[in-house]
Parts: sequence; C-alpha cells; structure tokens
Amino acid sequence: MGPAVFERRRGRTGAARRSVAGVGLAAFERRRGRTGAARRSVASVGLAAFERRRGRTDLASGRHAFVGVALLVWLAVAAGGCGGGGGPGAEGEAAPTIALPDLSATDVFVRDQVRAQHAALTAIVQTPTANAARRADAYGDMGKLLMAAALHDAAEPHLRRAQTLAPDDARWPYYLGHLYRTTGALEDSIAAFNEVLRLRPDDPLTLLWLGEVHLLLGRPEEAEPLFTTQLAMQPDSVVAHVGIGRAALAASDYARAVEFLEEGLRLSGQTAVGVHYPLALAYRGLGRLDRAEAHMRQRADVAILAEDPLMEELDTLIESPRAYERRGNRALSRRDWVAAAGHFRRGLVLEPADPTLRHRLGTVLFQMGDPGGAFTEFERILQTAPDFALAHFSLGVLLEGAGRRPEAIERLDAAVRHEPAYVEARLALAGLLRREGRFEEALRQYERVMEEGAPGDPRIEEAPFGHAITLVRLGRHADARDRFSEGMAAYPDQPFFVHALARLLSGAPDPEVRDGDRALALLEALPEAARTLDLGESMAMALAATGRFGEAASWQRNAVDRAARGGRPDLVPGMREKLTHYERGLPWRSDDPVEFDPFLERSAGAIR
Amino acid sequence: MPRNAEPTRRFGALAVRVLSRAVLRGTDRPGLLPARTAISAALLAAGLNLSCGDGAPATGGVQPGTAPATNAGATAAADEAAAGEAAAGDWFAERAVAAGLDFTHTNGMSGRYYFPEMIPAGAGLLDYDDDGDLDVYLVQGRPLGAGSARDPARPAADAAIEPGGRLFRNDVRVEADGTRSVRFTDVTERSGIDAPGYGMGVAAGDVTNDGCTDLYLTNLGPNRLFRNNCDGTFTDVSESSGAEGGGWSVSAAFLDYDRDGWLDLYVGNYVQYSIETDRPCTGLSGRRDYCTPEVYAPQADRLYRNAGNGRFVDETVNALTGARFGPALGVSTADFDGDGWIDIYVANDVHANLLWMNQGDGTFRDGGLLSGAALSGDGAAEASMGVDAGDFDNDGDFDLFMTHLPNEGNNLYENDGDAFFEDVSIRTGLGPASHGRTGFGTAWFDVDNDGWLDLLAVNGAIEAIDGRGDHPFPYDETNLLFRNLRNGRFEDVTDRAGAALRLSEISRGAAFGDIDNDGDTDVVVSNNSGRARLFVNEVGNRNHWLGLRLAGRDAPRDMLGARVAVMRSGEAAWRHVRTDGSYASARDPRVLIGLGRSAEAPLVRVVWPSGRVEEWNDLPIDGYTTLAEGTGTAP
Repeated sequence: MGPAVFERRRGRTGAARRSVAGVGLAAFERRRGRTGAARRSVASVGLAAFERRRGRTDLASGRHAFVGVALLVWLAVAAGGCGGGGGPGAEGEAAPTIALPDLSATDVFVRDQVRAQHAALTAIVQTPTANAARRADAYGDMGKLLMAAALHDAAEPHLRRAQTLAPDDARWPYYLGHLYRTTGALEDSIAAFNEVLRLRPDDPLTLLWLGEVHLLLGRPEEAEPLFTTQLAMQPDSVVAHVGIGRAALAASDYARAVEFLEEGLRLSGQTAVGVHYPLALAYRGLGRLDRAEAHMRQRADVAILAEDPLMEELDTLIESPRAYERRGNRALSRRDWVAAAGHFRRGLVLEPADPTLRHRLGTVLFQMGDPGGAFTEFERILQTAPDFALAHFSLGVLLEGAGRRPEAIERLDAAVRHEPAYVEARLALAGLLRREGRFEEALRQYERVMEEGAPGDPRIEEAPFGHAITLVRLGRHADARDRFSEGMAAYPDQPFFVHALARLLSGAPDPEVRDGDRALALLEALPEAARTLDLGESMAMALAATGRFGEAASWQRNAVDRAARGGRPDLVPGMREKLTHYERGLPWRSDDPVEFDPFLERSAGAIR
Repeated sequence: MPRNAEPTRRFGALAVRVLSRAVLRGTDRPGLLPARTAISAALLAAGLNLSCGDGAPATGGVQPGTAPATNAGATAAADEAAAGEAAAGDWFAERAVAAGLDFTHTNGMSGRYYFPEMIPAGAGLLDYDDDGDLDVYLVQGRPLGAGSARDPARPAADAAIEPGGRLFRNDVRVEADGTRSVRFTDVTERSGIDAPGYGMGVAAGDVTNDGCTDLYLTNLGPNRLFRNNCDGTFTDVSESSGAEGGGWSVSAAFLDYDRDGWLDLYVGNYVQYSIETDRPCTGLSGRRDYCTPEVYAPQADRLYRNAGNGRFVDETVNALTGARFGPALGVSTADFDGDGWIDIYVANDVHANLLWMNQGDGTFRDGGLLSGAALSGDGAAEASMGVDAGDFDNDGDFDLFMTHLPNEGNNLYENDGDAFFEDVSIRTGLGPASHGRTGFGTAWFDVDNDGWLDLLAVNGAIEAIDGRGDHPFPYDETNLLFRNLRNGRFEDVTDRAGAALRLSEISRGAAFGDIDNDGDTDVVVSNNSGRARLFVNEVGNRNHWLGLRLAGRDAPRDMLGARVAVMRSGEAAWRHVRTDGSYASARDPRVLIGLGRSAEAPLVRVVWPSGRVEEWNDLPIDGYTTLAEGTGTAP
C-alpha cells in the first residue's frame, strides 16, 4: 500500500472513510474504512471556519444566540419548569440524572474517559447558573466523545439535546447528519444536513455531504444540484467534480460522467485515484473498453473527500492505546514518521506492555533510519511477549542485515514456530537457509509454504522459485526444470520463471535437461520488454545454446554495456567471461546456470 | 561456483520490481510484508476500526471464562412469543418446533472470540429419500480450542448440545380437505451421517448419477462427502473421493462445468486459520470482538472435477488461473453470458469478488474488475456474504444479489447479457433499504408468485451492536423482505410479512424451497447460537404457479445448470436449476414459477446443460411436473 500500506483497507466498524487532505491534494485521499461508517469530511472551508468563529463563541458570534437563550429561559420559567426546555433553571432545579451509557464492553481507557466526561456534563447541568449554550456544549461534547467511541446510539440523544439547547449552533445537526449517515438512517441524515444548510446556507461541506447521502439513496437528480452549487463556489473542487460525475454515472449519462470525472482527476493532479473505478465504468458504458480497462488497472479503494475539521476533531478525542495506534497508522500512511512515533509512544505510556504498539514504534524507528532503536524495541517486546511472532521476524530481518545469519535463522525459526501460518517469515527463513547452504532444510520450508498456500497466489510465488533454485544448487536439474515449469504455469505474468527456466535449459550440464530450442522459444514468447529482464543475458545464453553465437555475442555485449552504464560494474567481469565464450563459438555451461534470484533484493532491502 | 555459496548478483530492473511488489503486498495481508515493509506487518493487522491485539486478554468486555450466554438461551422465550401463530394475513408463519424441526445451533463460544464462531452455519434442503418432499440438514458447531463440552465456562444449555449436524426427514401430509402439514423426524443416526466437525455449510447434488442426492458438508477442518446409498442411509466417502479438502470452507456448489454429465464441485474457502494462531481483536471502543478477515491470509478455493468413478480430481491449478483468491463466503453458479457453459461467481469477504467465466475447454477466466461485479459501484471491495443469481427483470439473463455489512448496504448487479454488470443497488432501492443490517443468507424467489423475483435477506451482526445494554451476545438483527415492484425497484415489505420476520436473531444460512409442496417458497433459516427457523409461506399459492423438476436423460438426477423459460404473451421469464447460492446453504433444485392470476398453461422452453433445447406445451399448472431431457419437442 505504499505509504497507505499501514492503514487497513476497510475498517469493520464504522470509523470509516476518513478524510483526505485538503485542496492541496498530495494526500488528497485515504483508504476507506471497512464499514464505510463515515466518509469523514473534508474542506478547509465552511463549517471549519464557522466553528472557529463560533468557538469564540456563540456569545461572540452572536447576539442572536444570546437572545435565543434568554427567550428559552423565559419560556422555561413561564412554563413552570415543564422539563426538557433549555432554560438553565429548568434542569438545574430538577437536578436531572443523566444516564451513563452502557460501558461494560468498552476498554478501561474509554470507560474512564466517558465517565469523566459524564461527570463534567452532570456538574454543568446541575449548575443553576449554567446557561443553555454552556449546557449545549456539555451535551455536545459528551455526544462527540461517544460518537468517537462508536457508541452511536448513546451519542445521538446527547447531540440532539445539544441541538435543542442551542438551535442556532450548526455543529450539532452537522454531527447528527454524520451520525445518521454512519448508522444508515439516511433520511434522518438528510434532515440533519438540511438543518445545517438552514443555519448556514451554502456551507460547502454540508452541500457535499448532503449530495453524498442523496447519492446513497439513489437520487442523483437531488445530488447533482448540490455538487453544482458547491462547484460554483469552488470551481476547482475535485470533490464537486467527482460528485457530479458520479451523479451522472448513476443516471447513466456516461458522457457527462466521463467529462466531470476526468476533470476531477486532472484537477487532483492524478492523485484522486478513487476516480478511476467510476471512470472505468463510465467508459465501459460508452463502449470504450480499452479506456475502461486502463482506468480499472489504476483503481484504488479510496474515497475522495475534502477536509473536515469537525469530524477530524472526533479522531483526537479518545485517549486509549488503540486510538493512538490508529492515529499512528494514519501518520504512517502520510509517511509522517515523527508524528507516528509520537502517537505510538503516547499509546505506550498508557499500555507499556502492548506488543503491537511497540512493534509499530520499532517499525517507525527503522523507517526513520534508526535500526538500533528498532532492534531495542523489538527485543523489549520479547521480554513481555515472547510468543510475539512479528517481533521475532523483524529481529530476524535486522540480524540478517547485520550479517548475523545464524542468529537471524533462530529468530525466523521462532517466528514460524509461534505462528506456523506466517508465510513471509517462512519464506524469509527458507531463503536464508538456502543462502547458508542448508539446502535440505530450505526445501522443507518452501514445500511447507506451497502445501499451505494457494496456487497462483502472488504472495507465495517466491516458494516455487526458491524451491527450484535450491534444487539447482543441489544439482537436481531435472527436478528444478519441472518446478520452474510449474511456476511458469501458475504465474504466467511473472517472466522471471521463464528466464530462470531458459537459463537452466541453455546452460545445464545435464544433456537430458538441456534444450536450447525450447529456451529460445520461451524467451521469444515473452513481450519485448520482458526479454531483457536480466539485462539480456538469458537471450544470449539461449542463442548460444542453439549455435547462434554471433547473435548471442551481440546480446551479451549489450548486456555488458547496460550493466556498466547502469551502475553495476561489479557484474561486468563475469559477463565478459561469457561474452568471450560466445565469441569463441562456445555455449555457456555451469552447475548453476540460473544465477539470479529476483527475491534476493528482499532481504537486501533491510541491509541498507 | 561452489554449491554452498549463494550467488549475490542482483539486477537493477529486478530490484526495483521486487521492492515495489514488496510494498504492494502489504495491501492485503497483515504479517506478510517482506523486508523493510515486512517489519511493519503488524501495522496492517490493525485497521481504522478493529485492531489486532497482542495476545493479551483485552481489558473490559467479555473475558475468557466468562462466556456470554447463547442467543438461544437469552432470547428463546421472547422469540417464541414473537413468532407464535401467524396472524391472518401474515405472509410467513414460523413453524419449526411445531413441525418437529427442533434444532439449536451452538458456535461453541467460550468468550475467547475465536474467529470462526461468527461465521456458521448453513442449512440444506434435499430430498434424500426421494419421496417427493424436501428434507432438511442443519449444520452444527462444537467447542473450539482448549475448552470441551464440559467446560464450566460454557453455559449448561450450550454444553448439552451434541456436536454434529442433524438430518431431519420431512413427511408432508395432505388432509382430505386439502390442508397440508409438514412433520420432521430426526433421522441422523439411522442415516449413518456422522459429522462431528465444526460445521459451516451444506451443498447437495447427485454426484453418482444414481438419482439419489448426496451431501457435501463444509467445515473448519476437512470437509465431508456423504454418498447417498438410495436406501435412506449415507456412506462417508470423504477420503476416498478426493474432495475432502481442508482448512476452512464455507460455501460450496455442485455444477457440471465440463458438461460431461457428472456434477463437479466448487468449494469456496475462507482464510488460513487455526486455533493455535487465533489473534485477539478489539473494536473501536476497545471491546474484545471478532476479527476481520484481513487479519488472516485468504485460503484458495478448490475446483474438483468429478471423474465419474467416485473420485474427484483437484483441477484448481489447471482450471482457475489468473486471479487472486479471496476469503470466499458465498458461491453462486449460472450461465452469466449465455454461451451455454456454466460460470461461477464467488463472493469474497473484503476482497474483489471473482466471476469465473467458463471458457468451454475445462478452464475458467476471471471476468475481473471490468465485469463490474467484483466491487461495489464506487469501487470498494465489500463484505460479500450471501449471493444468489436470478433474472429479476425478466430480461433473460442472470443478475446477482449480494448481502453486506450495515454501512455498505446490499448490492444488486444487473447483467447486460454479456456478463457486464452494473451496480444498481441504489437505483433499485435495495442498497439504502438494507443499510443497518448485516446480511447473510439470501435468494431470489417469487414470494407471491406474481412472476417476478423477490428477495429475502436474513441478517445477523458480526460485531457487537452498540446500545444493547447488558445483552450478553448483542449480534441479533431482524430480516429483510423485498418485493419486486416490476419497474426496476424493490419495496421493503418486511413489516407486512408478519411476526415471523420480526424475529431478531443471528441469522446466517437460508435454504429456500417448497417444503410443504403447496406451490410457494418456504425458507429454513439457520441461526448462529440459536434455534433453526421454518418460515412457511402463507401467501404464494394464492396465485397460480408451475412447478418443474428437470431430470436427466441418462441419469435420473436434477439437471443443475438447466435454464427454463416460461413464455406468455411474447414475454419470457427465465429461471435456472441449482442448489447453490445463498450462504453456506443448499436449496430446492426444483423450479417454481409464479403465474400470477393467469390459469393459462404457458409454453415452457428448457435449455439443458448439454446444450439441447426443448419445449413443452400444456403442462398442468398448480402442480409439479418432472421434465426429462429428450421428452420435449424441438422449438
């Protein structure tokens, strides 16, 4: 997932389609949460500014609010404290009991935080002098906290109470709009967002969200004018363009969909990769399958959203190890290592023995170029969680990078012992055993991966390749040939199986295995670009094996030239030796004609 | 070069490629990142909302040793009260216990939240004794992990449940006044079926072409194939058949993909899991909860070719290439592009779904993302639990309906006839109307026999539902019934369907079929940690109907994959013969076609799996007729 690798594609509960950066677009999109709860908002406009204005507060922003509160007080008093009114006296006198939500299933951190907020709310509500605005904020803060903890049912009455107490405060219907959207009460969500628009006409964020909810309800005709209004205010709005495009797509107006989606993609600087899927469908609708396929290949499960400070504030409310873990993950997705480390460290203050948090901290330190710090963190994990396979694996990788291979093997072996299905660890162990010359052990590890893995699964393609290479090392060339052939069939899109097999067929010492014609045919069947995957040496070997030495020498010269120019002079002497053979009219023979291993770079990556 | 020395040559182009692949690999498998990114593997295990824990018990919430009560125990009384007798006008009546279908599922939970506990169970309808009515097989769980049935942590009621699925024989009685009743008898022991594994699902089909329906049971662990001996008993041929598989299978489907006359088998596998490697997960609020599939690596599906000699040959590697398997939950088969070769659709949990298009040469090609049915309309890979194929708009091709999570909404993919699909979930009203529910079993069926396919989705959460107070196992949800408005839209009619559909349970499997042979579709629902339900349709046969069983020419078995068109006034309604679809369940292979108010016998055209096309006129309506291949007339 590149930088976004650290964030799960779709969260299962709610948190959801978190926002995206601003109009700057670099970080314009983020991965979706699994249950879509929320496409958390966007835009550095509208309510964000509104909140800043109102934050300093209703009193500052308005006489209207003050008058409203006074009116409510008067009404409450006049009604004789008939309850539910918003006057301070009404509730203060009644000293109402505010039910604490069911927290039996929450962790201790969330529980404590909710209880503290509840105490604060109760104190304010029971303070006779607390005015409606203050109590609205107290209810609203409680609602926000509960919403942040995904306790939506508990959050709703608090937010509604806040709205009742401060009917001119657009924050509360805004949060309610999101809450209802998250819980699937889409008509309620529309009503809430419409209430925001009543208070803040043309608020850009609310327009976008209201349009989004109308799309969810299958009402493109309702959605499009909202996006269009937003677009009129922000002509370069990617979100509005995409919204109009999606509305057009929903209405089967494919040409219009293409127009707006393409423009949205262009305005995003091609970073709004979430556009590719609807764009592909729009092109498909137009019958332009080539364009459709091109966009489909670029698709990513990413929501296109604008910044939404109010909703992002929710993300900062929960103080628990898991919450810090999520924040750290999001920082990682932005490649903001420093911020990520800070979040993980804060989580560890709350839960020092949490191996997951500490592993992430170690990972960040490694990414920041501090392998020593990473090593220390991984070792600390094993002091309290000796079965934590990930720590064993990470230590194994670091130890191998430091040239401490026997220790690395011990750690990798521990990783698969504690977690037998840990495929990457088993592949790393197999590769290291192979490189240490412990071939039979390596074979067993590769075989275990293949037994348990899925045929054709790209994640285990290293297993048949490594298995075959190990067979070559053992001199079992016929077995290796068969294994490469199987790998080629299972992974037809991976040309390195073809190269390896062609090299074996060209240069194996065993004449029963050698088959230059087949080697050449295999390579020639590859796409042009894939033939020089190894700088062209395979082609040279195959040509020489079929007696076409002149062409072989030509290919090899080019390969030597590429290596010299490509920053790999270390390869040149060996390649020249082969060239000499070809120039003398001799094929290349070797016990290990394959020589290269595309997966070797994997472990090399950790050395740097 | 010495043999024990590894070559150290590296190639620039390869290095770039491998490193970039390393990054890409992190997208879907926590714990599988190589090298630099591999160290970050744990990061992937935690998501926005549900994080993989550290092996330590979570603070708060249900702890090991404090098992939540089963849903059955907690709500049985309320459920019974809710179901009760159907009121006049109710569309369905719940009659499981009254009919002798007395079965309670246990997921074996011990409070440790083992991942498999949330996935089962399915139900199967099959006429195992060939007496003309549908019998029922119900899947059972068992304790997982170190616990045992006598684990004091497990509620006594749960511990008393014996492991092993149960087979119930159906004996439909028709009284002199025409009223019908179904009576089930538990015949498990006498049938010879002994399936004590941790059960997941059911598939049914005659794999021996002897006219007796065999039974395939998917499990956490090796699957079981029971051959029907045609005398009321079964023989476990799992090992000798070669179709045992292993790991974790959920849904399976019988189909004759190579048109050789023998039923082959597709098995949808979920993730690579073992109790030993179970990982603790928590929800957003920190509560312990069930994990997501992303925490584990997918397990590849399996395609078994029936060799015709009692053995199945695993053709997965040869026949299914070029696509990436995901965690499969639902499987549905149909000829989606109308080329005469049956295709396979696989609903994958949070991974792109697969549309295996039959190439007619023993291999399949994945229709891929461009098919439009791999992802939601906005390009998201969704939860995809239950799935069924049916021609909802009566345009002659098979559309797909799929159930999802509460914030995703269920999906309807409309087929354009060439296996290009469009997500019309929102336009049809099905998506928004299903928000807030976690759908599992589902099927296209004509609830009121008006000639247009309707939908039932049975629901039950997979993560604890907020706001349930001290509810010990807050995962229950009510079901959804949608009526086809014949204009491309659907209407939620759940509230009108009666008390039976207002039951709030953790529903998973749903098996659809005419259990009382009265001409409308009934439903057996299997509930996780709860009682099985029998929803008897009370309204369908108020309209006219045509019931067909399609039998082979050389083998007297149900011809799965056959397509049937009922043509009236120049319009055709297409249906197909299958036992798959829904979620981990097997359905009635007979075709039941609603005729509405028309008592006129329609023209029936059958496209057999062999490619033969035949027609029948003047078939009796309001009854079942067996059509044997080769006995019709050429069109």
